[in-house]
Amino acid sequence: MRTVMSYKVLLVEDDATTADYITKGLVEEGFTVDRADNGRDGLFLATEAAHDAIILDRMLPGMDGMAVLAALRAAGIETPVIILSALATADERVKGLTGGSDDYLAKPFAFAELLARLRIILRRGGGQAPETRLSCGDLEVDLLSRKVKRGARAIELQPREFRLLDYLLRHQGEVVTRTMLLEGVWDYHFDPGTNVIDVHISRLRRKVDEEGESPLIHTIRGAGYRLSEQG
Amino acid sequence: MRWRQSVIWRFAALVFLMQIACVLLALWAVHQFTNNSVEEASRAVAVNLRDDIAATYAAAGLQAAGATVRNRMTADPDDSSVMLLIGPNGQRVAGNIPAWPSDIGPTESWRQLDLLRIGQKERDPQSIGIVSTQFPDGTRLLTGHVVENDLRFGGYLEAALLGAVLLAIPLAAGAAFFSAAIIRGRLRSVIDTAAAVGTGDMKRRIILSGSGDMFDALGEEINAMLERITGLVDEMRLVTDGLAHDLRSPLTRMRAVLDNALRQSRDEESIAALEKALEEGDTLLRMLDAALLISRAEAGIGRDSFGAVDVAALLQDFQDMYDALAEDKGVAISVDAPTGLHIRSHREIFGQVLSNLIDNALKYGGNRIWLSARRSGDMIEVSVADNGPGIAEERRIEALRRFARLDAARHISGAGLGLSLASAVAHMHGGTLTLGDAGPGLRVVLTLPAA
Repeated sequence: MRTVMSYKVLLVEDDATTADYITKGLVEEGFTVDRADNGRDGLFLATEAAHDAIILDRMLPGMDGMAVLAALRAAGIETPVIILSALATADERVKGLTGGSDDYLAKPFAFAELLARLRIILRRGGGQAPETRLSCGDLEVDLLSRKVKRGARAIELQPREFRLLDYLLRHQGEVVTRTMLLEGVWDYHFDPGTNVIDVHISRLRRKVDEEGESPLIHTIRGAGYRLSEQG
Repeated sequence: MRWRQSVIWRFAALVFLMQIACVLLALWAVHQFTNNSVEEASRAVAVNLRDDIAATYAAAGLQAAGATVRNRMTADPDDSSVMLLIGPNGQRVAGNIPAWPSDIGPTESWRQLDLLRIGQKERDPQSIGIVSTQFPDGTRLLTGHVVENDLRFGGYLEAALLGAVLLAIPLAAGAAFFSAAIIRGRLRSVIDTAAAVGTGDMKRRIILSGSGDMFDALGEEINAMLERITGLVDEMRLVTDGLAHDLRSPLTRMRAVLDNALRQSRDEESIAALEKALEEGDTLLRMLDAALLISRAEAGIGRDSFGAVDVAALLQDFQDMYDALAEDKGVAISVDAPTGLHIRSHREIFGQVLSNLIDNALKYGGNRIWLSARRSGDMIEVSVADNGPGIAEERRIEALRRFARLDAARHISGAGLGLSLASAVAHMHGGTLTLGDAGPGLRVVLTLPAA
């Protein structure tokens, strides 16, 4: 999926291979990317406040990523930040999030995961009115009565299937990864390491996409899932 | 708790008994000493008297000795001497008692008996200490000294001593209580500090009284030990963080390369191979994560982020998360946990443990998995049980080792870290992990302190 966007992203990452990989992916997706390979330059670029989002590595030469983040927030710069870090333990994640970042992604990561998370924090800035109805094509969900319909067909969902669908609908058109679903539906951040999520999705899919209907839930190889009308 | 208290109270009882024993010993010594010296003084008076009269007798004969006796009787200032001189033929020469007492031999060195003296002021016989001598011609001399007053003095002394003992009992009890209270107070600060550090407050130290006594010395040593432990834990944190970083960086690059290759690849076979490579990379990463988490848990790193975690809600979450997968494998998961059970934990870390244990139960267990929690005193027991073949009792310790895989013939993927991770995390919580028999099957029980 190609979307033409003029989002400008600052990438602060000292590892050249990883930085190239992210930049290449982001440019392909239509982003403009500024790069810094150390904390000091990163902070300098970030203080221009000309970026829509910052992807910040934690262990950087010159100045630690958390220190960069603290300096930014202290200066009143509220640009959304995704921390990218090899420190993947639960307490490090909490430290990152309480330190002022908007998301925390452990290395190694799939580019699709980074992209999906980046899109979420970019959209978050737009502000959302509380919704009562969500829809995708002929799939309609009433959030108040918790009724789900596809065309004229009523769909009975279990509570967790409903939460999964709710999450997919709120991120429709975007790739959501398995760990994002685990976070969004169960609020856990570790990788369960089995196909726990896949089984839930395939059950939901059986109910949502019946024989003869155009499929709405798509599997994205090596990344996750996407809910959309187009394949 | 009980035995710790009883040690203090046994100490208090010992202090009490020692004090009472000391008091009794001192009083007994005083009693003996005064008795002896009082008696010694009376005897010296009687012996002096005898020696004087005997000297007169030897120098000037019986009549002169008799005169001396009479002289002494009139000159007796405090009316406390006893004398009797009996001539060689048994005739009474002089004295202030009527006759030789029947039970006094001719040569007594010190005897006490009750006698009535001639012309004494008291009506009743008095207790008198006596020495007697017989001269070669058969003349016998008896001298003595009233010890009645001494005995009365001894009686007063004994009463006073008894009073002192009675007074000493409450004082000794008080002293015992206070010394026990002081020791308890001083030990309490050591215990509280050790407990606080044990549950993750690595900055806590024993507050020293500044008196430089043994408790301060103990406190100083423990504080020094805590400094060293804190240093080692910090070092451990640095090493694991460094290791995580060093291993994750190449994995990140590998992932980037594979991801790029996957996106450019159109050949089904290469796509499958690349996906497999990515999957194996993820498995490697999970093993790395688990191994690091074990090391960190064993060092107690991460306890500072603990909060109250609702166990029943956590178990429900995992049932909810896993039951679809379990159902596909023909396994039913059930939860049995009352609400209101809380542990001090981190739900991510504890969740990782549960996820590992449920994974194990799905791989090696039967067709049922039970997640349960119950209160047991101050502890909460969280258990994951299955009805599979279980683990033989003699192999359970081995099963807790890192990378242990008991059934070598079964090549089910898995790092074999699940149980050692659970065990390390249980210790991190100040609890234990035990492997039991679910009859049939394996029951993994985490016994953790209630929040």
